[in-house]
Amino acid sequence: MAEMINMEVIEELRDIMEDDFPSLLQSFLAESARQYEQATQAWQTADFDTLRRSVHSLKGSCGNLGATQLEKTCAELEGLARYHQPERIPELLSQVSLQLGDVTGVIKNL
Amino acid sequence: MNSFSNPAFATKVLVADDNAVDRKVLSAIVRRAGYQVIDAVDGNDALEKYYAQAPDLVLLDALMPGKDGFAVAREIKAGSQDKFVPIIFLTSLTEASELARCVEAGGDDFLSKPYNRVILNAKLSALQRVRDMHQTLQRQRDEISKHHMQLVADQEAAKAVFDNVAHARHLDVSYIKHLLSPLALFNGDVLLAAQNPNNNVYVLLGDFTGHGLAAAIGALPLSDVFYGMTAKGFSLPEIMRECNRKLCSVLPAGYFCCAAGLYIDFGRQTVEFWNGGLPSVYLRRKQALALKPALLPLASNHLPLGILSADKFSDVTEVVEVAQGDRLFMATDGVIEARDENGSYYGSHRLESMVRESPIDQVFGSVKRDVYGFMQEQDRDDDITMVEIEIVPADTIQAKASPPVEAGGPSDWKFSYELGCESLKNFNPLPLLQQVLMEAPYLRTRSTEIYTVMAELYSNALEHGVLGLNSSMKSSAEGFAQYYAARAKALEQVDGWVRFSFSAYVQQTRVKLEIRVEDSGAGFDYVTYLQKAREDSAQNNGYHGRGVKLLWDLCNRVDYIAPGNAVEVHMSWENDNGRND
Amino acid sequence: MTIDTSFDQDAQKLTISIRGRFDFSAHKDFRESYEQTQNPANSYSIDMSDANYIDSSALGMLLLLRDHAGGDHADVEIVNCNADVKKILTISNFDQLFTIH
Repeated sequence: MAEMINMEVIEELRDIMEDDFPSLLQSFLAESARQYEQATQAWQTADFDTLRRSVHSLKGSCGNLGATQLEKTCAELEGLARYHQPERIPELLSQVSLQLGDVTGVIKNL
Repeated sequence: MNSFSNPAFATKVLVADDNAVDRKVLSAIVRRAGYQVIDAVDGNDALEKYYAQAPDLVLLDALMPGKDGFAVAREIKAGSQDKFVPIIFLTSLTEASELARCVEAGGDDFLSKPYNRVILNAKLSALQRVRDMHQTLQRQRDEISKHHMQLVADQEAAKAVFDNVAHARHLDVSYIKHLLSPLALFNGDVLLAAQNPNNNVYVLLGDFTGHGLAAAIGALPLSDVFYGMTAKGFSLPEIMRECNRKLCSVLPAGYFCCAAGLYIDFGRQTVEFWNGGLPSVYLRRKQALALKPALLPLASNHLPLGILSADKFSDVTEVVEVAQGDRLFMATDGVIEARDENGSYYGSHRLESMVRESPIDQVFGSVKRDVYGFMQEQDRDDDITMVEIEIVPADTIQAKASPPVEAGGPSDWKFSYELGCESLKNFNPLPLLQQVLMEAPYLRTRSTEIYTVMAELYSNALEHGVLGLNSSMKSSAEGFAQYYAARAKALEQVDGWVRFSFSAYVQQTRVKLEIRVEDSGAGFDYVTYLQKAREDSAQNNGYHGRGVKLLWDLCNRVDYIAPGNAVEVHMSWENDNGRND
Repeated sequence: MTIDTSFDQDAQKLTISIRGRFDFSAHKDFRESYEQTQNPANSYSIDMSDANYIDSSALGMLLLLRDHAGGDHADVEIVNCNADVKKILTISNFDQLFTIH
């Protein structure tokens, strides 16, 4: 579980954010859930653009949080959405869902 | 870390990102680096906060819902005018075309996600340096602009003074064509023209070294001397000498004025010239003859004005004969040095060809068209100063308006004035005598005629009487130059005198002036001379530019006294305001 | 535009060489080249071999040098002039003030 998030990044964040560190984590939890929601809904309406944008945003946050694996998955999904390649999208969406769950768990334990 | 430790002066940074996590992390990093942070959650919020709080730097997410980063950047850059507000795009886009889009929208740099503290600090410092440099440049630009405006105002004031005092007074006559740009003064070019009491014309073209006020300022004393002396009828050598003396005293070392002066005697059809440092003045003859080519260059053979002290200065002039219809063409080196778009010079050869080959009545116009055509659009206004004088019949020269007659002055008086050898050599008495005569207001209405008569009498007395020169020498082309050379030589060893006697009185409404000029010469056979002149005059009733016929035109009575070395003339007229021929 | 000087100790002659455009921008350098007093000179030589352009402000600078060198008693020569430079010096009759080669 620990390898879902790069602890070095977390430590640095703790240092930078100071008292705002908890608030940051809250923001991530809220935002990431929303972004995933948006992504699945977009997929259901075949709205590749919205799908791409939501996943792109999520990818960014993951990067800042040090959630490297989830970040990579988002990147791959973003690519598919960009080039309108639907075949593997459901598969990747589930992966995102799973990994997001793991990351959320790690965060809640910080 | 930036250098602002005092929060009141801390650089303000606007952070705009719709992603809360990204925004918070970035804001924290930036705040840690010592900046004051304003954050915005989307494009519209970013713009609102930008206008309200005027940040110094902007960090902008490229992809935001609603108004995206590109639109915000474009709007900020469009509105920032003078103030340099750097924009850093926040992006995890990696494709070149997308990064290029950021730059095109006005981005000054990128920062990629995830945010790296070290990189961000480095970028912020770099942009801060650019901002500082920009501000310095602007401050310097504003200072320069202010000084420049001051200089322009100074120059305009100087130009206004010059215009009031000296500008182009006598250039608006039919026989003079000229081109003088409004800025010519500040390129050092000066063009002066005047008539003397004889209705002969002086033209002085000057080119001061340097530019701007330094060049313009010499023009004032120069024109003062010029107009003062021409009005009094001083000769060209005297005027050039005094101009040189004046400029030596006024100009700083290393500054001088290339100049050419002309004295055109339309009656005698001669042109006297002095050229110190200007390109050759051209005499273009209407009709070329064997020993009189179509184009005669009157070259520079003196140092420019303002260099030599009075004892070293040479006022020696040369005289050439001209005919009706001939043209004199003068230009400063602005014409020869005019450049075309390739940087080639117009050159003196081309100018010479134009002057020599254009139809005689289109010389000025042709040269002007040719030079402008050559230059196309380059620096048109700057340096082209040129003038053309046409040799017209003397009676077409309009006399200056006579001043209204005043009452007063001595109503009957006489005086005598005698010049010995030294004076004959060095001194021209005419301006002084004219000055004295004009003290009597009732003589002023005939100032031109009086001066003309005096000049004619004096010239005969000196050249034929005292120096013994024979005027028939002047009739051939070489003879002409020889005459003036002989005159100069004879004058060096002159031994003799000339005496003027004047007597004037006003009787009721009639003014009478008697002038007698005697010389120490042996006299001549005036009887034969007068007879010939009478015969000549009977056949040919035109204007007579010289000799006794001129005197007959202007005087009521002309008496030669045996043995021919004295002449007495009477002039008489009604005492009134204007001319009453 | 550069200015080089060389001093002939025996002849007490200062040679000033002008390279490039001899115009207003040369003012300060030219003046400094002869005003320095380490080598007070009796005569001056201005070498124009590499000077490709000369204008009226340069003529003014030459006059200033002449003044500094004693005015009417100055011994200043201008050498190695190309055709254009010579032309300008000739029209201004500067050969009356300087020895020109």
